[in-house]
Amino acid sequence: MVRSIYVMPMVGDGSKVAPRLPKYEVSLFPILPRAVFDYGNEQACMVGLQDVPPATDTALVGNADVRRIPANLDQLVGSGTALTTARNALETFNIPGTWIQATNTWREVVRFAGACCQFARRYQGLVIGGLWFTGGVTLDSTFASLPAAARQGILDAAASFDFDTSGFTGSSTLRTIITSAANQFLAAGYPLELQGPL
Amino acid sequence: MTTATDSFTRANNSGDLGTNWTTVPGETLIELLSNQAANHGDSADQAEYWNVFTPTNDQYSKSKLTAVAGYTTGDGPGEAVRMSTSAVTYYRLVCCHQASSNVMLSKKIAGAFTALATVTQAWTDGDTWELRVVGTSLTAYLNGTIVSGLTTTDTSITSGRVGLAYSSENAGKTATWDDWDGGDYGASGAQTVNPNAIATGEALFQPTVKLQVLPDAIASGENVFQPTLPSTQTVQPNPVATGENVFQPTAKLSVSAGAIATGESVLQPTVKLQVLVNAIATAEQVYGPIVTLSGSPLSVLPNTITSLEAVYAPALGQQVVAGTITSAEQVFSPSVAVVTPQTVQPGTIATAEQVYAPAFVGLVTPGVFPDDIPSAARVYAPTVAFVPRPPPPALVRVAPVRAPALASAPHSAAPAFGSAARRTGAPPLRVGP
Repeated sequence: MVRSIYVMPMVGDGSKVAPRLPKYEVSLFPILPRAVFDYGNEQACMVGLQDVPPATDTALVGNADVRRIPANLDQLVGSGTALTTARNALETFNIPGTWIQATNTWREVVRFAGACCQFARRYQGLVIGGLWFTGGVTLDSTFASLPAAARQGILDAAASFDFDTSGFTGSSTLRTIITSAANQFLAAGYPLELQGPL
Repeated sequence: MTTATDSFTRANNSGDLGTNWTTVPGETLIELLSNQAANHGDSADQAEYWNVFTPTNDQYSKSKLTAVAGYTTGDGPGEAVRMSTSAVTYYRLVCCHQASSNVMLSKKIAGAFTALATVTQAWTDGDTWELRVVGTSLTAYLNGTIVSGLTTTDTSITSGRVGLAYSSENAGKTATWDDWDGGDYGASGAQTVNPNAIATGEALFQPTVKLQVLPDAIASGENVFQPTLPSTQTVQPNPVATGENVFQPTAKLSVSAGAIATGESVLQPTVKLQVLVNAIATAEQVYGPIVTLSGSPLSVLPNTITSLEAVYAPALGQQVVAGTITSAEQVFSPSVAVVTPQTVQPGTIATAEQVYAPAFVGLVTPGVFPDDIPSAARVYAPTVAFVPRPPPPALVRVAPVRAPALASAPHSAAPAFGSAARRTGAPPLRVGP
């Protein structure tokens, strides 16, 4: 079996009639074995698909809001356009991506993105704050600019993992905070399974 | 480790599963029907949790399921873990008999439903489905076997109860649960492997074991033997990682006979010898080290020789450093050979003095021979007669004589002046009666 990983929008409000699903699940891969890392409450997700038919792959990447991760996760991202593409694959969905260098592997990229999703999921499960990226908030917005409930949710999510939050100050950007949390998640050795280990 | 079971063998109850079960607030109940649990209609999602105890965060829920045909992806009966007692929050595994994508692992967070993983897995009514969560890993099992593709990671929900869940098709479908089992999935407790639990041909993996010798695990006085190593095994260099503590046993190490196979190399450890204080018993002999007397003179440090020790004169040619011999020590004179001739100056011996014959070695004054004067004999100074000097001769004037021109001999020898008259030797000593 061959796994393919895509980054794409998440749709649905979570209700019975509109469950939260990857945007193209119903239309393009309703019968493929699949797993999803939703980015918490945000409208983005990573999807792991098994044995994607070429036509399905073509149809998926033909959408402007879909980014495909190379099948060989151990290959280097590379420089130039490849590097820009990799960074944009994450930044488009408000996942920090400017840290990526040409010498990083795609596995490092997807593991980092997966860790960001897990941190956002813990924040989601606490049901304290709402969306992060709403009302003009971006990755470069400061922690102090977030609503109080969102700030508390972020701190509680980090504390639930025993992360070090000493660097989370009012002037910290959301990019800095999410990056720190993701790196601490990876350093803690938590597993990451998305139709197979990452 | 706490677990519970329920066979649902009791009277029908359309209002609940019984006193040990509670409906999740915000969801619809599950009812008792024909000694099984059954969905209560098909128009709304349903969930009930076991209310007798709160399991640990690593937990499972499993039961035998049936479902009529017609359910679609994401709908049907299933298991639930980490169920909230106050909100529609839990992980859920539901299954149906649709030809594809018929098993779904999902979560509900405050009522919001998100699909986590979906696969196609054929199954038969009455099969046992299980949802297990350990840490952040969710895994689905069918009849005790992991379902491929249904292991995933999620961090949203950290704790809760175990129980049953149902995703409605809203088409009048029916499903049942039986022989439910749930509770702690306790890796920390003793695990029992039931007979025939492992099918023929399955691979069993040995857990990773780290052997460790704890500090003080070897009591003082115990013998530590080298393990018997098969000839194919070797002890690798650096088997102890950097930073690990290695404790030396107190007891002597002994190597049993035959423990080291023929042909094996045994390396001598680096040993530092040290003589401890009081290690030499009284009355034991201690031998001085062999010292080469060459090079710089050896010195004896102050107070290194006790008052009772004898110090022998060194061979001549060596120096005794000032201050190295204390006042109470005995120092013996070396044998000295006198090689310088001794003379007795005239007039130095007064009348009636006793003069002892020295032990002469070498030259003596002519006329007196060694041992001529016996010991204790008196020697008197001789009487010296004054002899008047004869008058000088009359001087005669002589015309000066011009020195001839010098040829080859520049000087004539100077005459000796009155040598015989001015040097009157002492008469030979005479031995008195």
